[in-house]
Amino acid sequence: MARMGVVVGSARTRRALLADGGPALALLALAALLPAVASSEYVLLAASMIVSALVGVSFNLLFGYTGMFSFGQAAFYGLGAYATALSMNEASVDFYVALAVGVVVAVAAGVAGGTVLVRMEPVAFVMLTFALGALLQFAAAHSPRLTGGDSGLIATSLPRGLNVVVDVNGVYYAMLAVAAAVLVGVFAFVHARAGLMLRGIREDALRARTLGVAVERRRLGVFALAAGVAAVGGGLSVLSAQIVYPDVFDWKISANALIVTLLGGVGRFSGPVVGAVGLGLIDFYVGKLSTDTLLVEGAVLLTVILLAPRGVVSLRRKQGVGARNPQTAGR
Amino acid sequence: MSLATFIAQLFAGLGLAFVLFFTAAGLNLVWGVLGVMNFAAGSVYMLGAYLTTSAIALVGASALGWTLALIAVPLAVAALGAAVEVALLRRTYRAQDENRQFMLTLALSYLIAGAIVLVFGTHFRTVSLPGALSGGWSVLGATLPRYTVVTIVLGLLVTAAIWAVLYRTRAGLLTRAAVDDREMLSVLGVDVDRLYSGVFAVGIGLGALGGVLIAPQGTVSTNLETTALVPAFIVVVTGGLGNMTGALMAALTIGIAQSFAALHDATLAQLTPYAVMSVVLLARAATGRLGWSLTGLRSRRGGAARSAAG
Repeated sequence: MARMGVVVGSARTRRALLADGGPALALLALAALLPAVASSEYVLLAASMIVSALVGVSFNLLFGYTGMFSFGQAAFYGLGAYATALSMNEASVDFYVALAVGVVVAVAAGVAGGTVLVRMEPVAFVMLTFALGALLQFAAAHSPRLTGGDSGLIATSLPRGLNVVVDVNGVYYAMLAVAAAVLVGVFAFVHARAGLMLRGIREDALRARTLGVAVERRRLGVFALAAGVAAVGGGLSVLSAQIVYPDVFDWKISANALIVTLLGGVGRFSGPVVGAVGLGLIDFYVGKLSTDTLLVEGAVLLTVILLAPRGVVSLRRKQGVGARNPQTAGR
Repeated sequence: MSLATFIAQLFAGLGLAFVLFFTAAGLNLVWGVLGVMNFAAGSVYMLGAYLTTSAIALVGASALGWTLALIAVPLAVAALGAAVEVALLRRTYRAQDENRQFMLTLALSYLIAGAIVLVFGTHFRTVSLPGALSGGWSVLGATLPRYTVVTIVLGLLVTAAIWAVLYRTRAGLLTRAAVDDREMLSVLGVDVDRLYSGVFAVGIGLGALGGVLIAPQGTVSTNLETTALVPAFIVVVTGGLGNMTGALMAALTIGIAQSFAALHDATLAQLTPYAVMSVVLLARAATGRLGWSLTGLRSRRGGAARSAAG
């Protein structure tokens, strides 16, 4: 078990851990206090941030830590949402059991798809992960008997305590608790040996291979893990939305994960969490003025890319030795 | 199937194929030469369609008005593309950060889509064809819509022009040289920056041309972005990234297969692009090339990537 333990050595590493996880921890604490001070409108906003943060964390695991640019996290988010809603409706199981089913389905799909995908070169990887989402969106829209097609799949058997119409705060705290548990798990993972190996692969896959790291297997593992994290986001979205549309597979979900990660900081644990809160606030306030949030999101994205490319590259430069473009190194 | 049905479906498929090919060719050209995965291709296509509705509203749905729109809209969008390349994209080549370029085009796609919603609103628009282009010609018992025939002829002309420029002109020679060795080319005194701007503008213009051609064939709405982007990506992936001949073949196969599938079932037709892609990709994997065929424009980079993975 020592191998899996979080690498905590000196006081310096402890400080680094705090800097990496601190912002996310602070936001979680704020989130726990929110229902006491804010109206349900803001609680629902925070609930949507929780979902978007989880998909962002999932994307960050792949892109930020391993250098794999996935543009198809919506595929696993959507699988999680559909599998959760279907398990509840068809097998009338408890929500948390249904959520676990959703995660298992997404991880299985991640392993199956990842087996082929992780061997692809970067651009093919981007396009095929994108195509995976598009394919599932199509499949969901055209299987009305299973998914209700474009009219959506309504989650019918939610207990009162998890019914957002009856108890907003109950739903919110359930979502927050699950998300917090996942975040703790991911934090432990990225700071454990396994997480360090992923960063090694990102910096120089060829060198990692030479040093005996099973690059393909590690990539597959993190792909499956990221699928599971995205699926938790999808499963939780069933609680706040109570209906699942084929749009859960839309590429805009994947793009959103990218934007929140970029906004908060790529390859930093708290990055996507901070980014999800930031983008959620921007969308919320812009949405009050106009329905055209795309323009603002585009402008924000462009500004971040142009003015703060440090969010994207500084990390690699700072870590110095052997820093290379993760997408060209050793693929 | 009667001969008449066969001819009608074949023509419909060809029409579809060339609209597909325009967007895919734009995507492919930009990727092949600049190494930029242009995610804004879908919104550029949508922009082309929306600008067409404005242009036709301005000059009238006459044959002359359509000719004007067909020339002016792609040129205007291409000019926009050149400006974007100079102002934004150019900064990113030196860093060779493909992810940053991709994100930049994603931001552009948001901005274009947002601007369209701002200017045109979210209601769909329609645009009508001039009398000279509506109706059809009767061939061997089949009715061929004139507009489809025009699309096909235009498609053939543009395809021929792409090949002629790439392989028979100095600009094409330089473009192909830039793919092989950009630095050497600039050492030899060629203005590579200008060349890149030109290629990006042409790629964007091709995407817009697809949008112009699709505008009268249905409703122009904000859905166009995704409905254009996904098939265009599929065509490019199926044909092999950066491979123009492959993209043309893929577009023709998918367009024609989709047209015949539509005879049986609309769902089957929509599934066709995915089916064709899967078959081609699996066949490619089965013949031992699980990696990516990068013949054509982007041979060098592909080779380097593969040897590094070795």
